[in-house]
Amino acid sequence: MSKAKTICFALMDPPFEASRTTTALRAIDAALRLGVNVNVFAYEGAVMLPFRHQQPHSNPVHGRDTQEEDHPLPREWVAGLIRTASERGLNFEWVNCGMCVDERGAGDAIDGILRGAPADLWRLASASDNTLIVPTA
Amino acid sequence: MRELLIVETRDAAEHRGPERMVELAAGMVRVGVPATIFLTENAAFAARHRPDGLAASAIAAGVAVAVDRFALHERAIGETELESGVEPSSIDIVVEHLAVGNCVMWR
Amino acid sequence: MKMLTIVSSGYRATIEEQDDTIVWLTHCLRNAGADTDMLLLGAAANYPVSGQSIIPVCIGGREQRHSPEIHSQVAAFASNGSKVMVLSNDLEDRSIDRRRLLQQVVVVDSSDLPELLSAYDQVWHW
Repeated sequence: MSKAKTICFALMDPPFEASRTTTALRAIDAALRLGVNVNVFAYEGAVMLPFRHQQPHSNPVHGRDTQEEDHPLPREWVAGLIRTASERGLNFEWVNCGMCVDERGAGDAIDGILRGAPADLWRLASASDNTLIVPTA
Repeated sequence: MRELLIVETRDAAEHRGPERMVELAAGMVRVGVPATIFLTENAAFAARHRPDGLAASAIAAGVAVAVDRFALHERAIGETELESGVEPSSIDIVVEHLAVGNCVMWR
Repeated sequence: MKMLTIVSSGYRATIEEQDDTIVWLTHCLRNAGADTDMLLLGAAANYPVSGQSIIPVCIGGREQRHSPEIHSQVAAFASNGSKVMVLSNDLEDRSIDRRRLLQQVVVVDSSDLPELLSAYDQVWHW
């Protein structure tokens, strides 16, 4: 890919519920690895992906403490994507739908997450070369 | 539309949707739009060799079929078990299609 | 850019959300400048059927009086110049009588779907 493209992703699913959260975040990670700028519009449950208060836990069934369990947290994946984009000099904009945030009390997101309106999806899509809708599972 | 990539995540043994997507992809090929189906998550089971299976019918209709290596590993599906013509791929295929302006539909 | 929005998650959380959130979002996008038609797939093919109503939901003594009006939203969308379509086999699979559909709704034969999709610059399949 010679010239940096921009791809917009619209996500819907909440964390810890569906495989497609991991698959979609893998696709976003791939975009950054391939030198593509990324816009993300998080709609409905997906606004919980960067929720600051997600916490890892121990797992007595596995016989592991919190550190050994090393539970993945979507907020850390999102933070990692923001960091990766910055390291590679790529643009990365993540907008949480504000009304969806209010419904869920999800206002306390990690640094770098913007609050927006539904019209922001159109703004992000219009500023992108292509858009992928990742609907709810 | 230049080309269509369908990201299929659903288990074809449980849902009617994947079969419909094969019909759609085959129809796109018929109207001159190249189509690819990328099997991931539980849709990866459909990549296994089976004469009357989803992958075989898609390939017979001129649809390209790829399967997510990540999903194969997660389900212990060996590449030798795949339907002839199914291409093991990484998730990069989704980005590659998007970057050149192809339509990508996620199911 | 001419876009087709496909709504395929009919009646998803419509009571909690007071809306089909994709039909609602598509209205917002059109107001923001998107040039989009709408294809209602699967159970969403029932949205243009007249006579839908909600029995007030009472949970834990809290009665929900306002109900979603998706039928009206689809009607408003269709009356504003955008095309609203359903597939014939979605109607048949659910025994939906097409005479009960909104007049503006176009019934598309499933075999014509590839040609239909190929006419759009982008397809957003929710």
